[in-house]
Amino acid sequence: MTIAALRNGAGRHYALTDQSDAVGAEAAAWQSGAQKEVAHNSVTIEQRQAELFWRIVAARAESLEAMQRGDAETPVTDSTVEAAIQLLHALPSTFPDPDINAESFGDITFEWYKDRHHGAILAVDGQQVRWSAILGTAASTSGHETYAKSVPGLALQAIRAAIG
Amino acid sequence: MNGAIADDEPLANFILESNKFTKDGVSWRQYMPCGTPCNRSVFRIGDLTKVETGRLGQTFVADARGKALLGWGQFAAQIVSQVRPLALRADEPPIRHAIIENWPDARDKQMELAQLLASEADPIRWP
Repeated sequence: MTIAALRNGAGRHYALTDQSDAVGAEAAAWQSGAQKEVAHNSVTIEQRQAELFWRIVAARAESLEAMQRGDAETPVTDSTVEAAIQLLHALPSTFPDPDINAESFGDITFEWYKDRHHGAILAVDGQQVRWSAILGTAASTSGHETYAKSVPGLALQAIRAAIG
Repeated sequence: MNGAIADDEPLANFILESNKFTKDGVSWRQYMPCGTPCNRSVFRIGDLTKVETGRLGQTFVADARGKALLGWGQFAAQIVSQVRPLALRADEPPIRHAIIENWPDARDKQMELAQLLASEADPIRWP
């Protein structure tokens, strides 16, 4: 690789001198691999988000059917679906995939379980976000905040404590 | 059977929807209170066999809603008294009916208490 080539922008992140053809080739290969890895991770995250998005859509549809059967008291509204999608994107990517359900009282819930005595619920209705967690036998926590397009810090702590 | 409920009496909360079971237990949503004032129905099943309990649930709960009984969550009455501020009270008719009452108004607290009850419930499948 030459200085001219560098000035033209080829391999500009990795090849710094005129003597760096070998290093530049290695760097280019690394860059190509890294780009593929980043692209792969990005696709994986997008696929995960897409799958969870469709679970929200399915939950909303199930809620409609439950209303028609008389099994639900309150319908899931558009603002609840919107809030659930926003919360989905606000969840740390390190969290395992939650179970997603529409509740008879109109909330959409995200649930994580480690075992019968360790589990967390995050519920949203577009106005409020609520959480609850059991942290072992007879230990538990819960709370709520006005929905602000993010996952409350205390809710994140509760989820981590339940499934960590 | 409308008297005081002993701590060791087994209670059943009948399940009509498959999503009320989890892979190894009973879902918290099965224990969420409903109605005004909000409470949760249970049946006192002491001295009943599994078949008799199933018939009780089918007759008084499932048939009334035109559904099939899928099973029940079962725990001893003392579990309710350990989950404060909940309380248990006999409430016939129907026969052997009781209610878990004294639920807080806040839904997040209701979810927490329902989780605690569910975590102690043994899932019984029916038939």
